[in-house]
Amino acid sequence: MNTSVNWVVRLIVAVAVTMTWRSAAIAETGVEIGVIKNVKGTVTISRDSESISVVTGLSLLENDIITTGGKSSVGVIFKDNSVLSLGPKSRIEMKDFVFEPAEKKLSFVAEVVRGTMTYLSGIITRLNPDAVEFRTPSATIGIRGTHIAIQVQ
Amino acid sequence: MKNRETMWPGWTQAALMAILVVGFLGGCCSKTMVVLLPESDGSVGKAMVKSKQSSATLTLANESARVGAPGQFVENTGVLDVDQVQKIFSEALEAQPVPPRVFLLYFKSGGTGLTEESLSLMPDILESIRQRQSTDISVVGHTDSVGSSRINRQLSIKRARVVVDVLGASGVDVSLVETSSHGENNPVVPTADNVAEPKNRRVEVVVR
Repeated sequence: MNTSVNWVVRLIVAVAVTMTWRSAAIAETGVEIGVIKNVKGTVTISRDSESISVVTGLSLLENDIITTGGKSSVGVIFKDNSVLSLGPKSRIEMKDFVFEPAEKKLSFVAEVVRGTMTYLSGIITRLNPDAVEFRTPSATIGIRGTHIAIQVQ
Repeated sequence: MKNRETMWPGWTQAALMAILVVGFLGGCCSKTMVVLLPESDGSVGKAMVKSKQSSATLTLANESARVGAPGQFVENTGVLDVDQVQKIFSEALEAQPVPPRVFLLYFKSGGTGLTEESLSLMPDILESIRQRQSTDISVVGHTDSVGSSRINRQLSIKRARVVVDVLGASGVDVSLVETSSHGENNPVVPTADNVAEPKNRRVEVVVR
């Protein structure tokens, strides 16, 4: 009797541990595309239906939407060594980011919805300049190895 | 009469709402301005700005273009002075992280001994980690194609570890360092198999 109870308890614990481990694994499945390098004021990331308060060192994932509040700003370093920053009251949506030079798969597409943004290009631009595109409600911007600033108002 | 009195405020409200909606759509978030900035070494690249109607190519430092609303022409608005750029973009520019720096460290053939020249780069690496207050450092080991790919895989891991050890001994927090190794499969200089190529015997250190 005692041993069978013991086994049931063990089984329950094992299942619980597996489920916790699985949900943790699911939460981490997104591919990291960059890292938040600095934050000032209020900055949030919308990921799926979640809203995450941004801190330095946080991973940026595919399809993340970054929003800054008044008097706020944020800086990001991407996996291809390009850097991006947002000024106050800004919003950018990461539409597509692929950095797999060995398979020649490269893409950087972002939509600047409002506010101010700067971008300094990295390896993706160097290997395939056409792979980088910024979109705004009224324009699309392509670059050749460079540093740009965009404002949408 | 009574009827008219209640009707007029209704119309006024509708008109006001219409003005607000049009004002909002027309005023918010449809005007785009693009400025081509010089890079830190003073060099200037190129930016192409396109709308549904036309396009413009920017090639000069601080040259700018605007699109007033979706469907309008791209207007080249010329070179802005630095103060104008600062006025609009100062907060974003201040938040721009220092770009990562990549160091290439080379090894003597077949082993894990760093060349003298590469050892002398260590102070620069430490300085750039300090400057960036880096919490994200990658160390990636590579070999040339001399020997079997299995042995080269192991050698590139050993080389990466040697570099991590040197960084650790110099006071770098090695928990911030991500180590990986590509063996002989990611050469700087592509070669046939079994070719000694000093430029491929390397460890890349990326400080972010």
